[in-house]
Amino acid sequence: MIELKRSDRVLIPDAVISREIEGETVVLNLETGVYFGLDTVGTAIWNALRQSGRLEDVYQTVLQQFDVQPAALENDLLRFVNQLASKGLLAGA
Amino acid sequence: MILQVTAHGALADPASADRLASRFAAERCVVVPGLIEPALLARVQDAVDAAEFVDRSHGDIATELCMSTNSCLGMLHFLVNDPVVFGFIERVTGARGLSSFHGRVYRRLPGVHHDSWHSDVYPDRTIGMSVNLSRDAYEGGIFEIRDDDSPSVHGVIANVGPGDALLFKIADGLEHRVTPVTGRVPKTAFAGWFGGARDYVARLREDPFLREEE
Repeated sequence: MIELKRSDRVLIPDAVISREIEGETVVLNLETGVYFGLDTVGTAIWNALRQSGRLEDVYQTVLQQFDVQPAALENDLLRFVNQLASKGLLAGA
Repeated sequence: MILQVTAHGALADPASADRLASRFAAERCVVVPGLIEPALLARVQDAVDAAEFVDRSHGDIATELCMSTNSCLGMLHFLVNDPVVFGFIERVTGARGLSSFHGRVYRRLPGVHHDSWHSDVYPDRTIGMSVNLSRDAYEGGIFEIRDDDSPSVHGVIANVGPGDALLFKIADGLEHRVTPVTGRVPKTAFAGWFGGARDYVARLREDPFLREEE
C-alpha cells in the first residue's frame, strides 16, 4: 500500500460512516464491520477530513486548533491517516 | 429536514421538535418524516433485501418474519444511536436520559402475519420507534394507540413513507397495535425501543458482526 504524504488527497469511502458518541468519534466500515474509536484529536482530524480531502488543509486546520509542534502534528497526522487507510476507513484520491 | 440520520451523524431542527411535541402529547404518537437520508436508506434497503428472514412468533401477540442478526442490523443500530437523535426524541416526547435504541427488522406479509393490542411495557423501554424500510407503499399496516381500558384511540398513523419514523409512547395503561397488511406489498420496518439504562457503546462492543480495531 502507498504511504500517504502531506501533499496527498484522500477521500472517505461511501461505505464508511461515523458517529460522535460521548465526545469521541466511532468510524465504521459497513463492508468489513470494522470500527475504530477516535479520541479528541482524532475526532478533530476526522472532522477536518470530512471538510477537505487535502491533507495539507487538514494539517493547517488542526494546527490552529491545538497547541502542538508542527513537526509532531505532521508526524501524528500521517501516522493516523495511514492507519485509517490500512483499515479501509480512508482511501487515496 | 426535521430529524435526519446521515452517514456522518444526525441533523435536527429543534423548532420542528417543538411542533411535533404538541401532537405527540395529544396523540401519544407522531411521525418523523425522512429520518434516514435517501442515499443511506437505499444502502440499508439493499442490505435488507440480501438478508435472511426467519418466522417469528411473539406469543399470542404477533407473528412476523424477523431479519437474522447481521451486519445490516449493526449498521442500523449504529445510525440511530446518536446523541442528536436522543436529544430530539427527548424534546418531542418529554422522555429523559435516553442513551440507547435497540430493535429488530421485521417484515409482515399481506394476509399472513398479524399483530394484536399490546403494551411493550418492559424495563428500560420508554419510547417506541418504527422506521419504514419498505421500498414501495404498502396497504394496511396502520398503527393505532389507545388506553387499555377504552376502545377509542388516541392516534392512528399510516407510516408509509420510505425512511419515515413513527414514535410512540410506552407506558402502563397504554396499548398499541399494527393492523394487518393488505394488498400485495409487504411491510418491512426497523422497530424497537429507546431507553436509558445502558449506553450504546456497551452494546456496540457486544455486536458479533462488528469488530473494534485498536
